[in-house]
Amino acid sequence: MFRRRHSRAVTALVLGALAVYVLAPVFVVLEYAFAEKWFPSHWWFPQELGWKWFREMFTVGNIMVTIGLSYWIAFWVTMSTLVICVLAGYAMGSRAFRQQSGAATRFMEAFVNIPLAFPAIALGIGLLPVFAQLGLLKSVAGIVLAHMVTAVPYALRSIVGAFLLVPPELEEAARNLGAGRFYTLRRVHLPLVWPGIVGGAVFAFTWSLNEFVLTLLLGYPTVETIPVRIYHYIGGYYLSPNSAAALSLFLLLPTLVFMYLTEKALKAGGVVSVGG
Amino acid sequence: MSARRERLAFVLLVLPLVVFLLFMVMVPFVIAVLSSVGLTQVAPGLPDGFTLRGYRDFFDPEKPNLQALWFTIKITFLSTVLATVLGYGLVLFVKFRRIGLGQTLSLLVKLPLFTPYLVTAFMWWALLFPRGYIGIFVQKVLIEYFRLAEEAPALISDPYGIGIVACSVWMRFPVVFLIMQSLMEMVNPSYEEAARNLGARTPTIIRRVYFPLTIYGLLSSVTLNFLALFIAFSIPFILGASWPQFLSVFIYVNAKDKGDWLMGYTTSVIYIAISLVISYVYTRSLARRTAHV
Repeated sequence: MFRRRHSRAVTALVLGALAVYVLAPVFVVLEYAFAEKWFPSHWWFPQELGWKWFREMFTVGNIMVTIGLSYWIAFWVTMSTLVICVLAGYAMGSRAFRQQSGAATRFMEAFVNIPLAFPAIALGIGLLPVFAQLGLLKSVAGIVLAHMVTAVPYALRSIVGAFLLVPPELEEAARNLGAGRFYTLRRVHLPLVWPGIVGGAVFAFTWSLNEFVLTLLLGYPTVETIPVRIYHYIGGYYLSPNSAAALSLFLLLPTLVFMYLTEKALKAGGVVSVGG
Repeated sequence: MSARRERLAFVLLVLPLVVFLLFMVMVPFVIAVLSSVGLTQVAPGLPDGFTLRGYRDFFDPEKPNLQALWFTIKITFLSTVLATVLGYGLVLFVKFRRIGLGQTLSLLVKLPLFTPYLVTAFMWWALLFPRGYIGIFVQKVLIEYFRLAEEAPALISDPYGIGIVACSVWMRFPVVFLIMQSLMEMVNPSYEEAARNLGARTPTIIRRVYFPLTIYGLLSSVTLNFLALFIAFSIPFILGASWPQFLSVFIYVNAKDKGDWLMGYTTSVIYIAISLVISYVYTRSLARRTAHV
């Protein structure tokens, strides 16, 4: 009896410690975002909570432009990534193509993963002269391209994984009945692989929303996204953790909600789940 | 459709991807390599003609450049070890306490994975800076109450990388947990039963049954974390000291702030080379893990 109670206490203690460890940083950001008055003498909790920092954020400066631009860039990164990845994902994941071009597919799989091993900063300073030459430096189009570098490998992995799980008999049956390749893609593959495409899109969107180093290097000061503005609140000359915390919620909450909904949707009954 | 037309269709479908990657990854890489040996004039101050001066300077023990590399390796190694101990320890705890990985626990563990890097760095900055909870706790309890030291150590922007390690461990332990948890579930439970019937206790079962069967998974999660932390920028940029610097911050400061593009490009090439070696090790360990389970 004692042993069992002791065992439960240990379990509760460890899981409680885990919850504190994981949630404490999130809690602190929420505190800063909503703390209207917080004197160091009462360091354990703010004296007054409210929306001051959010109000200030919307009235002072051009924060709305920053937020709008971040989401606008993320939208274009997602769209462009999907165009490239659905086409390539179909080629690399469809059984018919894999039978014909197995070696090429394996090469492509390895090639696509290269950007994941590259430090973003190293890539960024290599891109600087290229972008400067092409007039893409400090432009929205340039930042969209830069964000796609990491969005593409992850989105492609998700989409190829989804194509691989489509039963080959379905494609064969459609082709035997005279359907063309495009018709088969539209009527057989796409209805089955949409969860993989949604997974890839969510990843591309959230990745772009959160990308920092390439935006700082290739876009700032003309293109200022939410992460760059947060950095200026805590790394610049004027420290403002409250403003940084309030703005962080515009990154944190959408990311967590998107990820949660995607995971739930994919588990709930997509025929094909996200690969990779 | 003939095999030739099939191949042509394959090429046309992957062409946009190949063009994109060549333009956005391979071109900058080639520019970085050529610039590091003085074969381009893409940035101000690059030498006129072939030279290995950048590499000589980087590996010169008299100069501080190598310190940035050792600091990066040291901090990455320490963070990886701590994240692995925490993640693997938690997996074992959940496994042997027979705690079901319900939705709450699953979401709790995944939360750091879904949190944006920069926000993670900011969260830890807010906890560790002198007016943060941990900063004040250290000051009030360890310094003022227990008098363990004269003054509180800096927990961010410190030369030991305390802030970077604390933040990195929080961010990466879920990777070890999720990989190892799924692998543990794949181990045939009859092995554990047989070991128990023969009188083995839990530590022996972990050491003799689970550890050997999941070692390649552990290796791949360790390598994955090492690579992710090694090439990180946001966390060392926000939480790191002005010196010693993390390699990614060192490149940024050299290129953007000091205008020393030769050192910026040289360090980039070295950085990419080390990262590629680590990712090769990761790919190998992943292949072994797949073959082993």
